Amino acid sequence: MMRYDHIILGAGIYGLYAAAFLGKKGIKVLVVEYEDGPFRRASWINQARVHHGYHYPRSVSTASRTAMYYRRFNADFPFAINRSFKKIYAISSVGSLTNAPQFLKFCVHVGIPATEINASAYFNPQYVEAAFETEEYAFDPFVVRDALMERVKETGKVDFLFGARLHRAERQGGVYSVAFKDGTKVEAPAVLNATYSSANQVLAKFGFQPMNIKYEICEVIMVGVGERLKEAGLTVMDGQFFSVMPFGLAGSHSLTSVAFTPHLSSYEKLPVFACQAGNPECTPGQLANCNTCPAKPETAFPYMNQLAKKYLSPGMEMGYEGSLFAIKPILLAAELDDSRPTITMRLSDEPSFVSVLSGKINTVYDLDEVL
Amino acid sequence: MKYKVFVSFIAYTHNGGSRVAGFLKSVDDYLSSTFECHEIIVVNDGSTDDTAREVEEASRGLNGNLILINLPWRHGLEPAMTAGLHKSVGDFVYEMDSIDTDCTEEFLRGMFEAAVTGYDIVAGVPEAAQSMTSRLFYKFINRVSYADLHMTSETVRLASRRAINAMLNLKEKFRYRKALYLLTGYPKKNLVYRSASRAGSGRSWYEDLDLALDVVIGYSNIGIKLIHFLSAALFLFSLAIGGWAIYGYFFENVVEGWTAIMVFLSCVFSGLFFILGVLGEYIMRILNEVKGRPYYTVSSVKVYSETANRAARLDYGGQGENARRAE
Repeated sequence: MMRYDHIILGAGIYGLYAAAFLGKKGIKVLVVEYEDGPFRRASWINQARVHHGYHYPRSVSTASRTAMYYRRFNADFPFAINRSFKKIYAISSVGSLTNAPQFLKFCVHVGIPATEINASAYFNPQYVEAAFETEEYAFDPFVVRDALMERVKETGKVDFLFGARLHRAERQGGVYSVAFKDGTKVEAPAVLNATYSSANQVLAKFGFQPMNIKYEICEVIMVGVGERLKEAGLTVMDGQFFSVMPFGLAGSHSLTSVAFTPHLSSYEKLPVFACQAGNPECTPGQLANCNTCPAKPETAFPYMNQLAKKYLSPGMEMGYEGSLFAIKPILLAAELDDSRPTITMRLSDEPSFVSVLSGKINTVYDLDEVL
Repeated sequence: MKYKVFVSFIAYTHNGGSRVAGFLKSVDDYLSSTFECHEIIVVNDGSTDDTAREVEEASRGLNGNLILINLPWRHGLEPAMTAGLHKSVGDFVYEMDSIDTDCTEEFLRGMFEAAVTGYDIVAGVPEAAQSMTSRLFYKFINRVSYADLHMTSETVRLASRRAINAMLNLKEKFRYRKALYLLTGYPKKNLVYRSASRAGSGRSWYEDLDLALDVVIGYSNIGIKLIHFLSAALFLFSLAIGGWAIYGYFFENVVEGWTAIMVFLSCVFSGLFFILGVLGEYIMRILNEVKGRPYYTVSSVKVYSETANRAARLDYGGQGENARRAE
C-alpha cells in the first residue's frame, strides 16, 4: 500500500497542471493514467486553439472568462504558441444564428479585437457575410506537454502510474483507497478527477452521481495546405461551422466542422457506442483510445473537404494527411446556449474529492480555485 | 468505375413517410454505385406524419451521409428546396421535387453523363402528357416572358456547383428555380423520361394558380403592359364618351342619356378595378422584397453520418453485452 497526499486521475493538461500546482506546494502527488504516457487523448486531439472567446457569441459569460484566461495562457506558454498566421473569422450568410453587426457588437462587449477585412481574399463571398481579422493563436500540444512535464519533474514530489487500470475505489475513514487491476493499491486523503471523457466512469467507481453528458467520437483531420492557406487560420461561424487552422507548430493544419467532426454520439451517462463491439478493451465502464482503436470510424474528409471547397475561394485546396480521433463529452445543459463552462465539483471534503470537466485548454486556470 | 465527384441529392417531401424509406434506399444504391462520394438531403416540409422518424430509420441502411432538414410548417416546394440547396456541398446537385418521381437509375445516370458533356443544368422532363392547365401555362409564360425561358414541366434537375452558386446569388425573393437557372445563362439541356404516371405536384388548384401568378409576374412584363394598354384604352374610351355626351347635350334628349352614363361608369370602374388588382400584385411583390424576411425557417437539421449509419448497420450484437459489463 502506497500513500500519497493527493491522487490525480488523468495525465492530460488538467491533470499535469494540477500536479505541478500541488507539487510546488510540497504536496506528494500521484498521477494515474490509463495510457502509457501523458497527452494521449483530448489534450492532444483537439483544434489546438487558444480560445479568446470568439466562438461564443451566444454566451457572453463563457466568452469573457475565456478572454480572461487567454492572456494568462499566452504568458505561461509563450514558446508553445504559433502566432505566425492570420486569424480570420467569417460569418456564414445562410443558416447562421449570428450576423456580422451582432458579432462585432459582441466582440466590443467582451473586449476582444476584430477588424473587418475583405472576405473574398479567403472566402467565396456568396456564402460569407463578412470576415474579420482577430487575435487568437494556436498552441502546440506536445510543447505544452513537455513544458508541463518539466514543471512537474522540477517539484520532485510527483510520481506517475502509467498504463493503470482502475479496479475499485473505497472510502476508508479519512482516505480514499484505490485499487488497480494489477493488484497495486494506493491511498490518499484527496482525489482529483481530471479524466475528461472518462469523468463519469470515475465518478461511478467512487460512488458519486454521474453528470448528464452526451459523448461524441470526434475526428480532427490533419491536412497539408498550399501557400495561401499556410499563413492563415480560417473559421466560419455558425451555419455550417467549420475551421481550418494551423495545428500547433508542426506545419499541418487541422480541419474540423460542426456537422462532420462528430461521428457517433451516445446519450447514456456511461458511453455506449456500437463500435465498442469491435474493441473488447473499450466498454461503457472504461473507454479505450479511439486513435489507436481497430474499430475507429472512417474519415469524413471527403465531406469536410467539399464543405471547405464550397466556402473558400479557389486556390485554397488541401490534401489529406491523417485523422486523429478522440471522445468529447458535452454537458447536455450547455447545448442550448452553446456555453462551455468548466465544471468543477467538490463532491466530498474529508477525504476530498474534486471532479473537473472542461472543453477548453486555456481554462485550466479554473483549477487554482479548487485545489 | 465510379465518377470521382461529390454529388448531393436533394429531395422534397411533405407527408411522404410511407414512401420515403424505399425512395432513400434506391437513391442511395444509385449514388453509391455511380459516384465516389455523395450525400442525400431530405427536406421535410412541415410533414404531419412520421416522415422524420421514417427517415431516421432508413438512414441506417445507407452508404453515405444523410441530412434531414425539418421545416416547422409547410413552406412549399421552392423555399424548401432552397433550404436544401443552401445545405448542399456537392460539385453536382440533383434536385428532385417529389419523392414519387418515377425516373430510373439509368435516366439519372444519363443526366449526369449529359452534364459532363458541357451542360451545367440538365432537367428531367416526364414524357407523360401534361395536364391541359400546365400546357396552357407554359405556352403562355414562354410567349409573354422577356427572357428566353423555354420552360416545361421538370421533376428532377442536375446542376453544377457554379450554376447553383450563380442561381443562389440572384437576389430575387420569389425563387422559382426553373426560371432562375435559365437566368444564370449556363447551358441547359432537357432530357425526357417515360413516366408511368403523371406525378402530381401535390398542390391544390389554388396553390397551383398562386405559383402560376407569381411566375407570370416574376418573369414577364405582362402585368405592367396590361396596365399601359388598359389605361390608354380607358382614357380614349372616356374621351369618346365625353364627346358623345357633349354631342347629345346639343342634339338629343339628355334625360335618356342615363343608360349611357351607366355604361360609361361600369366600363371605367371595371377598368379601374382591374388596374388596381394588377397594381396590388406588384405592390405585394415590392412589399415582400422590402420586408427581407428570411426565405425559409428551419426547425432542426439532423445529420446521419456515414459512420453512424455504418455503425448502426454492423449490428455487433455486442452493445447490450458491453452495457451489461459496465454494470
